[in-house]
Amino acid sequence: MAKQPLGIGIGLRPDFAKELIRRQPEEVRWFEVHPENYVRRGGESAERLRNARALWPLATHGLSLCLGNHATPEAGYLDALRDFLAEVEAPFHSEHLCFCASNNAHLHDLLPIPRTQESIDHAAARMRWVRDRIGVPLALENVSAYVEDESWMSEIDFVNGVLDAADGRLLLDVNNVFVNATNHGFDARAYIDAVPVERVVQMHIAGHLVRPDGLIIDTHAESVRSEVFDLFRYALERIGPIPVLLERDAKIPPLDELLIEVRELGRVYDEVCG
Amino acid sequence: MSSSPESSALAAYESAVLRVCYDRRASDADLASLDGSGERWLLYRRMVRRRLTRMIRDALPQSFKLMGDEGTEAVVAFLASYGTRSRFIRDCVLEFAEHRLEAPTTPELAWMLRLESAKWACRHAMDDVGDAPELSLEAVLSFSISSQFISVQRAGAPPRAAVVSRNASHRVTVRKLTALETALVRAWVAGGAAASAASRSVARELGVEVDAAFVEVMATLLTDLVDAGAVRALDP
Repeated sequence: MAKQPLGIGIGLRPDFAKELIRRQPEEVRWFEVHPENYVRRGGESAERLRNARALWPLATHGLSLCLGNHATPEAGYLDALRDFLAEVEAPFHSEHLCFCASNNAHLHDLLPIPRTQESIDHAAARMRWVRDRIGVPLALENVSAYVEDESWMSEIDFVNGVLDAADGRLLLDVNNVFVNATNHGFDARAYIDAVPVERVVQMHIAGHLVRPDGLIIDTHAESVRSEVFDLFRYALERIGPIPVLLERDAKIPPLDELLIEVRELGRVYDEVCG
Repeated sequence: MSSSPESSALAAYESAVLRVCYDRRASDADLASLDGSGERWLLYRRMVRRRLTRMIRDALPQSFKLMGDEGTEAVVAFLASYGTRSRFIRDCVLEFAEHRLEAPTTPELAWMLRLESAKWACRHAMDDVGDAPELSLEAVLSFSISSQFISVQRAGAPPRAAVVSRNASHRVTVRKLTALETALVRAWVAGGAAASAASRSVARELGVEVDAAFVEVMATLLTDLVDAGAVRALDP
């Protein structure tokens, strides 16, 4: 049986993967991959994954089966995903609570769905349907969203509604909670307080950009801000030891710079979780 | 999984967002039909378009150089066709190239789009599975899964062909082909005949002597393709 991811992990970015694998820094405890970057693909990326798997446990995080999507995945993809997850011994898989495709066209981005009962019913049904076909537990990730409507239910009620209806797991993105709380004016700590601890299997933490007009954009291109660090500590105190991913997907710094941030997160993690 | 009647409103909502993001202009009607601020939906439009445009342009730099200002319109037209059918974002490069090639092109642009998209496809292609038999002139050859034969024939320009492939070190290379080499490669991978027999057929069809020069061309080409990981032997 594969080792379970725990502690602080990072994404297996091609920008630094070779160096990461060569140096094997002890502060990195696991890594995350998007199956869409490896399924039906060989060459350098396949080699990178093989080499990293020999060193660390991993978690998988999907980008294209978002729970708000309507279209049936094309024939064969779910089988390929299931085979991939089995091959890499993924302990669970995660997807986003949003939509990323419509009418068989992919947007390659994470778009918000209305936070309504209809959306809960749809997302929960899709979560169960996907989970039944991939062979491992499925977690949903709360997403950042830049639109808000007064007719929508609160975000945490929406997330919990889907989790309850699907009996699902949660990948809690702390930065997304902070971004939405700031952009839409709710209490981030109250959100964390309402998270069903027993369902949380992983956390994400990332940097964001504050625009001149105050709107926060979830870029994954900056260092983690101190306010998000604080929220991370708060969430960790409530949830306890689980795998935590530092997301960095753009403006990738040198590995040493990223490792400083990993060590900072690790220090908080060790203080809270012992 | 089929949509339930209850989720049809959600499907319509998502269709409107798709149009906002991909149509040449986001319509006022679509923006008005969505919850939340239209300005924020236009932010999503910009983010979606910027990501895909960057990826396509970065993967096809010489093609965009040839297109010049027209490159922007080509991406706009592609997005407006809702042509991003693959869940793998890397495929949007190939989807764009195919879409652009459906429109009139100069021979030079057609060649460059084929060449750069083949390089992209080979870089990301799957690996061959299992060991192939030893390569020799007596083997029947096939292209490896991470290689592509490309050929462009356009009026007013000489035909061009090449084999693009990825080798064991993951390096993608281009082997441009002469007319004779093109005929040889086509014959080798047509199946059914060993490379030597297929080569003799080519010589007969082209009225070329199987002399030392011909053998030299044949041997050099085969060596180059083997070194580049482009061909492998089929099981007898």
